[in-house]
Amino acid sequence: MAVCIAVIAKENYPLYIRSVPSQNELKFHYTVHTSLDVVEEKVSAVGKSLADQRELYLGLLYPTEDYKVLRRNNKCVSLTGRNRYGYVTNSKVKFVIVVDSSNTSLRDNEIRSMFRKLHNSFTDVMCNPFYNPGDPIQSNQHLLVLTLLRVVLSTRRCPEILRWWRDEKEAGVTPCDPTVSFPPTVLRSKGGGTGAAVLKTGTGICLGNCSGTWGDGSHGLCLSCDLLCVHPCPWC
Amino acid sequence: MADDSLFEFLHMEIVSHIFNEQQSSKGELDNKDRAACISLLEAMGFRVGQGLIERLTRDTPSFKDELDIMKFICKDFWTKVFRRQVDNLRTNHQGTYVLQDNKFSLLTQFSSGKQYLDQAPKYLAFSCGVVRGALSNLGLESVVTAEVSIMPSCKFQVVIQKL
Repeated sequence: MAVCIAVIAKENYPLYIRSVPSQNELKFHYTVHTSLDVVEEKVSAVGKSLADQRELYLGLLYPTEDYKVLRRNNKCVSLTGRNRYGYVTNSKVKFVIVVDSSNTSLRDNEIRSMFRKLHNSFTDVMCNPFYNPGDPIQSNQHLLVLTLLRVVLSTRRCPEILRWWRDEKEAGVTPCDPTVSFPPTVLRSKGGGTGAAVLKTGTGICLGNCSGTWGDGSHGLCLSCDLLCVHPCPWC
Repeated sequence: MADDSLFEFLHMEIVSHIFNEQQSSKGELDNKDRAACISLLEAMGFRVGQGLIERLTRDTPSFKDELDIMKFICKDFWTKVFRRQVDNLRTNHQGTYVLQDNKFSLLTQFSSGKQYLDQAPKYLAFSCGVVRGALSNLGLESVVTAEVSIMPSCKFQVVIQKL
């Protein structure tokens, strides 16, 4: 599943662009760049209207050949390809998220919460005394990167796990059942050294909406996905 | 929340440190050196203002116009940073605003009266920088100056630079 997160400065140059997968980055750069015009249009249109509250979330921007961008004012349903969502902060820093809309249709409030987390991380970056505003955001250790990757990946649903959960559901297992353990062929524990085949000894917190913890057997990681490890409980 | 006096002490120490540094390297301070120290303080305040405004405007809806931004500065921003609101905001509607605070929190420790009036600008430079940084991050380039006639009341003059 392809996804991209971009943080664009006030002067319209990128402060941070990361995409998953890492190939085809140029395509994402292009996508984000074209969506900037739309963001500007949105912002200036909102300025002219007499709305009492101008919110920061812009919603889906416009549809193009490959990608869709949602706009907050007139919600258009995306047809195929990728959705682009925009968000502007009060300091005129723009966030653009490009997601694949083919397999999962993300709900509006999920996107909003993604932007929320992004904004929080960006605020932390601004408050970092070693960061000069206007510089590209670097640092692999920085919270921002981790949060973004988590945000990105938290919307992924690994098909392997989904299939397994679907079977379990049919068998009558209740959601977030702590007694359920993942089959060792599908899952492995998160790196951390304890290395058990079944996720009974891993630790972590569900990045979905339920407050289950890894290691209680009700959440897990997929062996076939190579990336960071979080799959929220599909029932959350 | 941390005690307010922590920042006040820190601020006093920052000001005296910068001036002492300059004095120890140059001997006697002339006007140019003093101006350099004050710009240093103002630059520190600028960076702080930028970060602060990002945090404080995280949840607020976007601003309609300049006046809206100034009102935000006078009310919410001033409350968070200096623990009171600006008492009086005047404008000529052409980009100049005067914010008057009758009991500025960084000046309350001074004795009221004329004795330390000439020392006051040193202690206002950081706050001018904070305001300038906040405005800059909201999209308004400005020049902020402060003057004191009676302690502890002071006036901040903000002139928005039109590009």
